[in-house]
Amino acid sequence: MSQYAATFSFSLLIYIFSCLLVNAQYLHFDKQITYQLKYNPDTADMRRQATETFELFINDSISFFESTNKNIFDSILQQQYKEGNTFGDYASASTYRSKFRFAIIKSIDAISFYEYEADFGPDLVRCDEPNRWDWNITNEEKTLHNLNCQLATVQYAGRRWEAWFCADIPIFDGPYKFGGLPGLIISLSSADKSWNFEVIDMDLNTAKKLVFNQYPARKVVQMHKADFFKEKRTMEKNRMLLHESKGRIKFKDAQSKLNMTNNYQKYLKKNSNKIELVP
Amino acid sequence: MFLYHFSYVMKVVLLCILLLFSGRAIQAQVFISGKLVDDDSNPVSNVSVGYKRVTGAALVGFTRSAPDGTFQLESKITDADSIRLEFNHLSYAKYSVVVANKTGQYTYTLSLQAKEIQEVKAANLPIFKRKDTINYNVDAFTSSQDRVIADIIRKLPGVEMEGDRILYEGKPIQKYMVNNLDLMEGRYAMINKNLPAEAVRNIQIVENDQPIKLLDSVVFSDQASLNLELKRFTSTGSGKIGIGASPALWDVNVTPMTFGQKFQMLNSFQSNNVGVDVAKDLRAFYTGATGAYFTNKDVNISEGPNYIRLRDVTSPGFEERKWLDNKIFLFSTNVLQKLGNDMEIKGNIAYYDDTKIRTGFTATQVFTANETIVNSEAVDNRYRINNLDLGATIEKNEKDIFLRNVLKYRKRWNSDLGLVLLNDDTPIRQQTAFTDEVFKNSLAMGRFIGKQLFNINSSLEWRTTPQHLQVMPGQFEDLLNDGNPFDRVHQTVQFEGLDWKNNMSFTRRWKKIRLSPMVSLDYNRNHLQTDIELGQGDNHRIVGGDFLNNMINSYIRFGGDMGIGFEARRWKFNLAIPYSLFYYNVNQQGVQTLDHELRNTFNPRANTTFVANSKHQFSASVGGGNQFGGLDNFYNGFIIGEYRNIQRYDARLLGTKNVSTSVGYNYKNTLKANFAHLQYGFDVAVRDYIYETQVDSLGRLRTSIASRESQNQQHRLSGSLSHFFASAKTVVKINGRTNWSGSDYLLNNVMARQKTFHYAADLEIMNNASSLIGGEYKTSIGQTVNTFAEGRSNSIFYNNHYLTVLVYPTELQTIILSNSYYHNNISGQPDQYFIDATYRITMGKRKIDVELIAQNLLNNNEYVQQITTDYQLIQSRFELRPRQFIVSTKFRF
Repeated sequence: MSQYAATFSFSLLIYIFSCLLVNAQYLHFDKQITYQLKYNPDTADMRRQATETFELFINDSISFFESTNKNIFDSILQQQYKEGNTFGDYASASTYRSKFRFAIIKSIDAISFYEYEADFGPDLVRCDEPNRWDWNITNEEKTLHNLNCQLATVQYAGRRWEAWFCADIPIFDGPYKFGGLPGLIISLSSADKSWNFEVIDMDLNTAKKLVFNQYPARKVVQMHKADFFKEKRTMEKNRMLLHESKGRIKFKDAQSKLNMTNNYQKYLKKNSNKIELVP
Repeated sequence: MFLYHFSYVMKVVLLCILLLFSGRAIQAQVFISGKLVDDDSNPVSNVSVGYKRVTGAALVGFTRSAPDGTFQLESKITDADSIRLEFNHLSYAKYSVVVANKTGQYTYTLSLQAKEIQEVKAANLPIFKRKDTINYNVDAFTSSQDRVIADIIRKLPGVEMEGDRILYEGKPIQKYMVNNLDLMEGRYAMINKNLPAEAVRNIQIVENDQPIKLLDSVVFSDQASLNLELKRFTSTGSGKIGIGASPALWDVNVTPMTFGQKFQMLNSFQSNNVGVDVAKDLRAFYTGATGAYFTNKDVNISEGPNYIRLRDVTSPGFEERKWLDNKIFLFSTNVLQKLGNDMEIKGNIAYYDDTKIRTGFTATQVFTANETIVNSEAVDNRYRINNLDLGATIEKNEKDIFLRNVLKYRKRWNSDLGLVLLNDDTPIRQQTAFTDEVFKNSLAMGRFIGKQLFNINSSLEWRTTPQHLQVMPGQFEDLLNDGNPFDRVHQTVQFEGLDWKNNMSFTRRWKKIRLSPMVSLDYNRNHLQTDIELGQGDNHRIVGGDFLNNMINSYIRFGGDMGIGFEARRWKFNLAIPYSLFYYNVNQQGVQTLDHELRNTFNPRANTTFVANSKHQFSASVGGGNQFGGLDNFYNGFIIGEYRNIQRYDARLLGTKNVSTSVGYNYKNTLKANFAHLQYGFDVAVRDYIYETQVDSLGRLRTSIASRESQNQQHRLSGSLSHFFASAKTVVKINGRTNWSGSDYLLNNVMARQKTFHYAADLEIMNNASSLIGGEYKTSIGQTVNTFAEGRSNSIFYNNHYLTVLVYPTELQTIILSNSYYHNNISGQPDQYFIDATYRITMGKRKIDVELIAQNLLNNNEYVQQITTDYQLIQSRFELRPRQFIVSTKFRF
């Protein structure tokens, strides 16, 4: 079978599978792991560090990974939406801000990355890739949070990653898209230490119900990861022009436009460190 | 021939080389495969299959079993004959086996087993609930103006401050801890007002907290405790030095504290004359409602009976700083040490010397059925209070044993001087001296004997309280001196009391039911000696007769109680049925007025709580019974309590029957930061007596007890709501209360009923969203309507507004403007408006604040208010503190 046909069949299978998934009313999970992310938004200034927490929800077939704040934000909005308040309780919800608007659903075969951003488009974008990792397990061991951990490394999206996993917790999962090790990933860092995930909380016997893409339900649009990557970068670079063209901002004069553009470029540079360097 | 042999040899060599390589290739590929099944031979998927060296700890490679239970992995170990395979799955017992390091197929059976895996714990949200603990992240609620932890606690939704007392969901907290240790035993205002906010990481409210480990799964608790989690074990504290005018003013406070893992200490030296009553920080707030039989009640020493006082003028109901004329020196040391075997010892010493001046004017109208008597008094009083407190506690709080012994000593000695100008023409001078010395020891012990929890409590309190009042010129001439005026009258009182309480109980739990039978034995004995002496020039005589008391009263109480509790997942129910038998004995001036008089009381009470879910909770309680009046008012010789109040009582036991009920609702949504509560209560009491007051033409009162039935009843309703708008960093709190009551009273032989209707509401908005301006606004509104005899009624209405605006011109400077506006409906009293201003500049790395404070900028000099009692309407004017300026330095360390 040609590679194209194989990729097509694979994508079709994933699409069918995840349609079923995405149209599900509720997702039920029985394990919840909280990771803390410490990262440097700008690699040129390693003193500046930002922190955010993420939740990894797991059940027997899939796992769901997203920012804690986004999770709470969504559940507040969805609760309001259900009660007929379509504006949502933004006043309370907006305290839970996050720089990370994605949600990642992993199954045994595939990783689906979802992101909705108003400036990008009205739909929920989905990018899929196979859930296959070429981990290199080393003999290095250490104790983290009283758990016996072992080091494994992998090359992904233009970076080298180091993961400490605990074989005593036989969960093939971890933060972000990572997983596939014979134990839960307790700590994950990029080689330059500018991205660091670490477990801070764990509940392996919980009952969690999540609503995904329900209130409001957006149309899911499948995109190639490389295409999404490229278009998103372009959108970020030109966000200001985009807002101007939509009438969201008006520049008083040419000088203020120049000032704002420069400021925005500085902001982009200060947040130029992305978790994935290449698609 | 040669060629033939050569080619043969080459073939052999080639074959050997081929065999060598193919052999190596065959050796490099070791595939271990197989199938995993469970005890019922069903395939087990998603099992982590790893391999390692036989004696190694680290995994070398792994795979995962497929949905049909099969697995296959390739061994990369080339230098060992055997390898170890490990099979791991959350729902199955880990399985490990050594196999030969060569291609092979195996089938293994895994057994079901629930795994206990060590979990990692932490949390980091602004308000985060885990089981019974609500964590408030301090950084989320801190604004740049907050200095001490009280500034933060005040703002937390769900939490209210009543003065310095902290309430959660409308009920006082039962414990205030720092790093899970209780240093101050209820005197937490001193920590609350001096612990820098930046030292605290989390404020935790633990709902349903049972601090006594022994009772943990035996007696449930519906009380909440507060715990401050510090960022690290540390020595910290805050201080202040201020001076000002006019007259000469000072305000000093140095409070260092240490919070270690096993050692805590707080020292405080405070002195000021700017109107801040720092002695209040030594008040213990625990109410003793913890635990059915293990008690916190021993924390506080009761106040000695005070039979004499100066004629006073009522102080304004608002902030003390505006009117309190004081001069106080206070010193306090508190230490806690946790010892090796789970023992804790605590010690504290506190002393203060306080001088207070109160000046004002009172006009009193006394409503009798026939006439209204009016009196006016200009009052100028000076109070000097000295107080020394010593305490030592030893405690062992473990899962199987509880032991606590508290020893306290207090001595208070006051001397007061009061000057009254009566009706603008009669000056009256009063002098009082009051001493109260108390020793108290309380012991509580508990342990398990078999499955029963056995508990003993015993407390012993001994006190002596000598006091006297001198009034010049003499009063009550008609009663004391045949109507002839005289120079001075001297009332002497000596009180000695002993109170010994003991009880013993068992508690047994069967599944969801708890039974606690208890027996108790108390002994109480008091000796009261009083006399009145008249003085004229150098002569003095003791009046004696009806004006002398030598009373010894005592009672013994035998009590029995059965406590029943029921606790299920959502329901909690508690019932107590205490029954007591009293033997009373009273000897008054040699006459045995009560001789082994037997009385019994029965006071059942029940309460129940229903927790609908994590947000909604309902509760209800009912109780009733009968009690007998304290023997303290059993004296039948006259005592002059105040210059125009002389009283005595008929010697008899006073009985009361009462019933009270209440229902409550609590709502809490920590995610949305919404808290609310609503409560309704009804009480009714019937007494077999009534206080009878006779008023003479000068408005002087004679009080006695009449044997007539009297009744009072009350309905009360209260509710509160609070929400934290996190995006706007604003807290909004609303609370309201209303009650309506009726009570009987007897004045100049006429029985009448006073009805009161009262409502009050407060709205508070606290905002610190902006870095340029912030503020707090509070408004209180209330009304009391009293209806007296003959249809007379009085209505007092008030509506007060408090607005504090904070402006931050730069990051280090703050301007605070506090405005208060008081509005009431008293005729002749215009609305009052006060402004205070503070300019603060923060300096240096250690963040020292330098403040310039201007108080009462508009120089308001007096405040008028109106008070009603059963039969009096009192209008009083109180002198306020004049305009004053203070410069002070505040620092944290």
